Amino acid sequence: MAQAQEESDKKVEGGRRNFLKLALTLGAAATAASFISMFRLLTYVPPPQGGPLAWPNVKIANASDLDPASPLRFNYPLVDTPSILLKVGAPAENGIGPNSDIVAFSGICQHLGCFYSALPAGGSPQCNSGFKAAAPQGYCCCHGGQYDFVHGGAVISGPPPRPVPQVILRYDDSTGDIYAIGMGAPTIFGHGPPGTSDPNEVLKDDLQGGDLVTEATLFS
Amino acid sequence: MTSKAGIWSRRPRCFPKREIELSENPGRRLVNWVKKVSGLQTNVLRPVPEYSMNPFYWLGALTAMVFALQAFTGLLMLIYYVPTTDQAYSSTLFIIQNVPLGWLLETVHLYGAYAMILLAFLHMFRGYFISVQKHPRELMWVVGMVMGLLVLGMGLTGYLLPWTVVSKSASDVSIGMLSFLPAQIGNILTFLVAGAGSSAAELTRFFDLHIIVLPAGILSLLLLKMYMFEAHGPAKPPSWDDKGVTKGPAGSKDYPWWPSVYLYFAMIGGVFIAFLLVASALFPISLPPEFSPAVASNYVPQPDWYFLWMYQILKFAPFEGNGIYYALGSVTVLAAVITLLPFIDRGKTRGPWSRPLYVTFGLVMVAELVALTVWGYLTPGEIIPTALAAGVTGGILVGVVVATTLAYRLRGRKFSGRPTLGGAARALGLPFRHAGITAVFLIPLVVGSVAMETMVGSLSGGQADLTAAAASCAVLIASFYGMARMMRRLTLKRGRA
Repeated sequence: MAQAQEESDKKVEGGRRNFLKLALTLGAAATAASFISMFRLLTYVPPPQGGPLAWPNVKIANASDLDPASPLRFNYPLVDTPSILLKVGAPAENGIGPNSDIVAFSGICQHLGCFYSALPAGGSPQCNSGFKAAAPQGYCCCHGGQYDFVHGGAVISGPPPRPVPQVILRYDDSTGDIYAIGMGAPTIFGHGPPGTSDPNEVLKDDLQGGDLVTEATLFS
Repeated sequence: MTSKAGIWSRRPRCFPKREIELSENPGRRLVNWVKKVSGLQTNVLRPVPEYSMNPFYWLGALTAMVFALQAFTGLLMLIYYVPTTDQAYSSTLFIIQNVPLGWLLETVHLYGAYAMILLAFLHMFRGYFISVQKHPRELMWVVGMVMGLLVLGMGLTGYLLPWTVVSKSASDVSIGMLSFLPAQIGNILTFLVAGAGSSAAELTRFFDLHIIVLPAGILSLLLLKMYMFEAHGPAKPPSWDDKGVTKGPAGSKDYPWWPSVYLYFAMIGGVFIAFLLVASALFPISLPPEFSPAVASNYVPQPDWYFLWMYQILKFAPFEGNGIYYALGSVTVLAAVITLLPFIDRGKTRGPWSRPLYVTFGLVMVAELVALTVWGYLTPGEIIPTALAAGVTGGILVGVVVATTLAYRLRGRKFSGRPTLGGAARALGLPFRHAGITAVFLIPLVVGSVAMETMVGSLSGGQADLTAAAASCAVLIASFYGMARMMRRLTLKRGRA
């Protein structure tokens, strides 16, 4: 009698144990599933703030105001991504204006994302006074990357693995105004995977998460 | 605890509760009441053996103490600091210029951070050289290494917060390194730690990391590590373990935490904080200019001193262009090797003199770290040509290996008393009497150096020759292995003699 009671207790005990195991497993699985679904939160790329997914079209300067000796720094395409406009003095790749010598580039180095300085011909960066630029070029003081502004931002020397992206400009023949209308490949450093060259991806990555530039924030 | 059982065989979980006696003195009564209801009359912390009443055993505790100090000064700064791109700099300046003693607060927080990182490094290298990570402290070592990385993360994130031109540019560089991780991981990590590209997101995230995420991580791991420490206690002096000694010399004993150890730690902690305060008062910080893209382009951003070695590696010519993958990859591998050390260095002995391979590796690491740091500090923004880079790092490598080999031979010789010039000369003369083995030793040394030069050279520029690099890497590893075997044989032979 007592033995039968004990066995039945064991069965109940076993049933309870199995139930608890099942509940624990299901609970753990549900928790894990909910955490895995949070992965989507991490991979979500926010669209640009304050505007549609299209390149801003802004007037930067007038050709007559450009001084070859002092490159002009402006924000494009986002408020936090500086670019550089300059007159290189000789026909340049993708250059605009009467002499096709006005070009603009992203001001962010493709090596590790430093803001580099733009040198006119004969200029030297503050970090290396012994260096004299033969032609207008970019010089990054972080790790010595150099970009050729006459040849589409190609790397002259130093660590950058690829050219610096060029700003696509439009020149108004009647007024001499210069407009920025887009960015060329690759992506601006720090925006999406480095070196992306598909134009749609470049647009999406360059504009993600930041504030699109307007004429009011062009030089802020 | 009886002396017969030995201090390691049985450890008291806690001291027996002392009966609190009632006293007529109201102050004493209050103290007794607090002791009773808070449970403080039981001393739960493990008693401290005599050999660990030595500052070298307290480097970790000092690091933890500075962590508390950082929390305190950091909370005080939070009263005034505003983490937005337009006010971060001005509010930091406000603390320094307007808040009473704010300059001291900022300086103590900065120097405290330096001290914490320095102490963490010292703590690690001390542990490395006397091999504290051996059983049963494997997991303590791994947890400690992760904590070290978090401490470096604290330094990295805190550096950005004043929004100076140097700190913002240097932070951008470190974020830039994330983009070299495999695409999806790199993207997610960049998004998590720096946002989708705007400066505001970057500052907010770094701020959150610095004041919540990383401190919470450090604190939890600290508790975990303290728990493990309570279980295992401080590592014995390595010579004790190697000789199977379980008990200290006659007369040495364990000290209870109250009052001896508290007093001891209060003493070294007090001296340490006094140094920190005096240094801060004598050399208060001055803030570099505020960040703006135009100013940034003319500045050479250098990281703080504890990342200069990494900065210098990135400036080596072979790591330009896509070569950066090799630089970041090898640093990651190195960090992984040190983290997993307890599962790699599995020898039974702990003394530095019986672990020539690991001690040499550690000394090479220390020498290279120091040299790269100083070199990086002296050459901001300069790309180091391949030959110079390979020559200096390789020279240090060969120099340290030769020096340690000689030191081990000197030690191995049966000579008593203190090291003398004669003894050193005899040690230096030794290779000539063992011309054979010396010649054999020189072969892998030369072959290894050439292989290293070839490997670095074949990775230069954009056109990396992977086959040549892999081949020379294999030769390098083989020659290292050969040297290590020989060093081991030589030292063991000496030891037996």
